[in-house]
Amino acid sequence: MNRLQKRAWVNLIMMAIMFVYVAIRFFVLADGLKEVESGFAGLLTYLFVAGLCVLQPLLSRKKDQVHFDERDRLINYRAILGTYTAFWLLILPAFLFPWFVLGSDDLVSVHVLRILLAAIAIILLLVYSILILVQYDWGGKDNE
Amino acid sequence: MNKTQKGALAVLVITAVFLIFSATIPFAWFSDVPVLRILPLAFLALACVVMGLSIIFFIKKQSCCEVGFDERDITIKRKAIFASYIALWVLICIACIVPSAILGEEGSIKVVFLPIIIFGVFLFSMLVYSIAILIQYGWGGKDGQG
Repeated sequence: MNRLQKRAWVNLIMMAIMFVYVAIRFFVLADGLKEVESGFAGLLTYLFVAGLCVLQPLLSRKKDQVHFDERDRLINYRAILGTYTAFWLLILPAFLFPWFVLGSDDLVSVHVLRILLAAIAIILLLVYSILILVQYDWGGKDNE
Repeated sequence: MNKTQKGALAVLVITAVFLIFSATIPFAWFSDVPVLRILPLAFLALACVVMGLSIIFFIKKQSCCEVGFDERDITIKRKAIFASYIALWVLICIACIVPSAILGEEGSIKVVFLPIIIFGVFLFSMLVYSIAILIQYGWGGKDGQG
């Protein structure tokens, strides 16, 4: 497995953890636990970001690295191009839909902008990781 | 000049005119001077004319032996797309975080600013893409010419 595949797997695993947590938050936790849980939400978000920041450079270390050639660069480029396209497909409805629904004079909280940004970033990371893994056939024999 | 350079130059000119057009809108909005009020319309008309001329410039071959499209051009285009993508993220982060820094945590903005943000980000990312292409070709210098 080369560094692109490793990064993609780390992204997917971290996101899976986040999604499981969100599912637990919405469907399992009782109302009495809300306060404890809201502090835990912040902690988990920081852990998620810290995990991504720490694990990505560790995976890019030179030693024990499978050779990174022209084909890998092409795969990375295609994944980025796909993510770029997905960015516009996501951001256009996300920013234009409120304008069509609420009208020009309505107000929107500044929190909404940050939430939109975070949601789009997470979805694009997911798209990028899946595109990388799909092109490598999910780490099949050809890439070993 | 090859197709990529011509396209980048055309996009650069169109983007520059649109940015000037966008900059004139606040003047027209807040001003009572009649000339300033029609300024955006004039720039919009100019943008349409420039767009038409750029399309003709892009399609029309300069000579029968205009340069083709090779591996080097593909690499240049890829690098420009990377630069544009990075610029896009930087701009969208600034656009989403700056309002809360200025207005505070409880602040809100008008919904009409959302499409304006997207339009601005799109124009700047196109600008970065064209400039990245033109820089890599040396602004149409000897290396980039046929």
